[in-house]
Amino acid sequence: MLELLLWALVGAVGASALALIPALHIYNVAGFILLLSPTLAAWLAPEQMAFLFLGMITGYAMLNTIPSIFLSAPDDSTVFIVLPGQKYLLQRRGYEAVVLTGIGGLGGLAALLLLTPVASRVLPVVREILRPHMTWILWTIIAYMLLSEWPKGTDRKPAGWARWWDGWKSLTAGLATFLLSGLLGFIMMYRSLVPVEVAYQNLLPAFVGLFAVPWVIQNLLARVELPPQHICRNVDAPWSAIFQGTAAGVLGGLFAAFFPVVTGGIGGFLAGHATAQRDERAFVISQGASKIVYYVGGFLLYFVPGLHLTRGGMAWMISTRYSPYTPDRYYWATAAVLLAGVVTFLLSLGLTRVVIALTQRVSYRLISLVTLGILLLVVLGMTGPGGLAVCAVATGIGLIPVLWGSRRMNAMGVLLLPIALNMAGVGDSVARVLGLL
Amino acid sequence: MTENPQTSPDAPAEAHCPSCGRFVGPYATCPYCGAKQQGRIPVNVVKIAALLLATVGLLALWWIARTAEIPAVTAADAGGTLNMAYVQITGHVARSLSYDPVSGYLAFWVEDGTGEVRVSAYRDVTESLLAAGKIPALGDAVTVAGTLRIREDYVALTLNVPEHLALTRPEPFKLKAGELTVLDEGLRVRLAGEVRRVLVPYPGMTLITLRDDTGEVVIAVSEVITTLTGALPEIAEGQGITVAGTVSLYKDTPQIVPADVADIQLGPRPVVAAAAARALDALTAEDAGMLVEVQGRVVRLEGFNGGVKATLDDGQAQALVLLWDSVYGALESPTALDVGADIVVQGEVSVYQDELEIVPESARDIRIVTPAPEIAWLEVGALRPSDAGRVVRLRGVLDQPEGFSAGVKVLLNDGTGKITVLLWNNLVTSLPQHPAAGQQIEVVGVVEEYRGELELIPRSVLDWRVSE
Repeated sequence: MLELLLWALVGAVGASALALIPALHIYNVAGFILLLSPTLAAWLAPEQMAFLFLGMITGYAMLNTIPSIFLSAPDDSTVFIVLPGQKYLLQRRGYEAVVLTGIGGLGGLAALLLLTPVASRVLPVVREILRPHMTWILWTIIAYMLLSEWPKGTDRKPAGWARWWDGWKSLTAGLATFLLSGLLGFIMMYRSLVPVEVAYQNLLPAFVGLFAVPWVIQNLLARVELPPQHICRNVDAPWSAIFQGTAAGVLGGLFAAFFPVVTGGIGGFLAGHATAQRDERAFVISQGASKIVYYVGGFLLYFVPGLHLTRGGMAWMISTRYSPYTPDRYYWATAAVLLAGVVTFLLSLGLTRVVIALTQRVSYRLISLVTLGILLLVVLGMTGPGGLAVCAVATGIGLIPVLWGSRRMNAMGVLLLPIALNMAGVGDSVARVLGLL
Repeated sequence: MTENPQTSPDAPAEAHCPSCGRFVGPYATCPYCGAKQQGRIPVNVVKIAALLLATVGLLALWWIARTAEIPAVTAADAGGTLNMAYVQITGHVARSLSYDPVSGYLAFWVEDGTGEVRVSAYRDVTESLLAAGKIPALGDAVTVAGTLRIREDYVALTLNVPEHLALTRPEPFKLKAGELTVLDEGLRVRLAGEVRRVLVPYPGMTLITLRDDTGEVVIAVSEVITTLTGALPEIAEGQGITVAGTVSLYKDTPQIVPADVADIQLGPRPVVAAAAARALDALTAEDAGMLVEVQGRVVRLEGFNGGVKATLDDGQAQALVLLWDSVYGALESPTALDVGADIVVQGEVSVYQDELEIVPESARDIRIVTPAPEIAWLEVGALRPSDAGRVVRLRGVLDQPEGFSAGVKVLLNDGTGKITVLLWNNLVTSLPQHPAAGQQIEVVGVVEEYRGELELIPRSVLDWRVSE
């Protein structure tokens, strides 16, 4: 058993280093490991791989805040951290933002620990209760996402079309992003251009294009300059903000982890609105908690006895190799993520200093260009030219909210639209109309 | 205090106007001196490029996707990296269907020569399949496309689109029951014969035994088939039956699984050609499993656990006819089938401990041409050692029975003498009344000599009658 914890620790430390590479998602790394698994089989048993992945996802969830804040390279679950994170960054408080997110992450881990004794009794019941209601809940989320993108003009344009467009452009951009990404999702789901041999990374080019590349392009266009950063010895966060932020984040993260298709970003967004947070500190903390609960908690659901829920890329990947059969594995898995979480939180403090030092020595433009190169190489290497083409189109769609000022989360239409339509029983009809069947 | 980035001396050169040196950030024209910034991409250009990629690019992807073929893979190819791929698999249905009418879940296994894939369909798709009459059945050739799910111990494919399931049901080969072998597994066949038995071993499964002139075979009709294709008609033993179905194996024995209840056609009593009449000396072990008809005289009848064995002699050779209690007891006059009877028997040839046996399936398979002569009453005192092997009829009063490991021994006293009657355990347990001292009985049995003493051994419960 201790050996399994060791594997989790190895995964956590490895992922902590890899999480610093801008826009490199841990799912891609896990994908490579899965690809190599026949070669690694001699010394990496499926169960060891599962615990390695547990450590990796924990390390990644704890540390991917660093590139998100310092290099503006978010994934779909960290898009909400970037804006407040950037604000902290420009106030020279990027380190503090990382610490606050880490505190949220630790709070999220504590919540997962508290859930452990009751998870196997409560969650299967919750699942059964929710099962018949999944479709309308998902559509409600979509409706809320789109409707909450209300017109937000400056009222400074001359009356007429110009003023109308000023007010409605973000809303139009949001709807266009959602619909175009949804159409892309249909294509990816029914007739993907990604080679079938790497189907498990089918959505990689779309996600990189929708979320990562537009940020890099924005960085290149904006010529951002980072002010010198202050390494604080304490953080400006009262216990009330920590508690409020953690509670909201756990709520959103649990929702995202448990509910299919809903990602950490959407969970955080809903939790933020549900708890009406106006305190920016609480918001940053909540995003850290939400991210941990979404990524780690989602994967832990796979280990819950009597539930065995496959949520998130990590669970999908390991499900092809390993199934936890005994309750004690769940407790060991919880122990593994706690260990990994605490170690990676401590690591994040040191690694943030390394990144700060790097960003002050190396041109931000250069880092952005290298990031773009890494992203394109990963996409090309994993999914070939077909994937690169998908990534290009997804980048166009992902740039719409960036350039017209709407929420990037609308790009989650790539998953939400086809799956929500499928759950409503009309997905195939839509695909047929689109000529994809 | 936050330092204003506009005045930062460390700011990179590309963020500053090359003319006046002031910070210009993303502006294409310096807001201070109006100088054009070289090497800048105007945001409008990026906007147009983004729109073009998002619309024209998406249309191009859509067009390519519409023309793309669904990739075909084999079960062996389906490794972890193909998880969630939308692929096509071609093979045949290798196992019977699972269907849950409540949830609408339908599943079957497709075998493509390299392995098996479990194909599942959920409510909407299942309903469409049922409405289109596209119900897969064992042995059907299948091409199916869907989303692959690679699990730790099996490969699954979810059928999302009813049109992505193509079924071809092969034309059945006409075969006889006795011709079926394990090598025919998966073959679609048509058989005609007579219903010999209808058995429901457990709720949800009906086993119909079809017999023709070469042998018999079981038709397995599961609840899934009746739920999907309709209820089974009333089936009576002796009815004519024609069935088309696929050969599957149950514990290495071929059985027929129909695709549809309509594949079972019932008729009036069939004209089943009688099994080939065979001389006993022509029977060999190679005939095992065949249905034959033999004729001869019963020269010996002995009991065993569950029935009696009659030794049949046709003048050329001898063979055993194995009569289970259910068959022997169902004879119109069981005592007529005894030593000296001439009988015609139709049954399956089997080999048991290197001995050929003919096993009739029911009492209807036995025709008693000449009943056994009445067995004469004898007195115990008249029995001599030379009577060993003879079948005799005695009556008398029982002494105290004495049990032993293999049965019960009891002395029979008819006033002229005493003889030990040996009842083997299988017989004792079948008797309606356990032997008891003082019982007056009539008994038929084979006289045997054991350690110099004569014994009488009844062969079946019919040889034992307690007088009132």
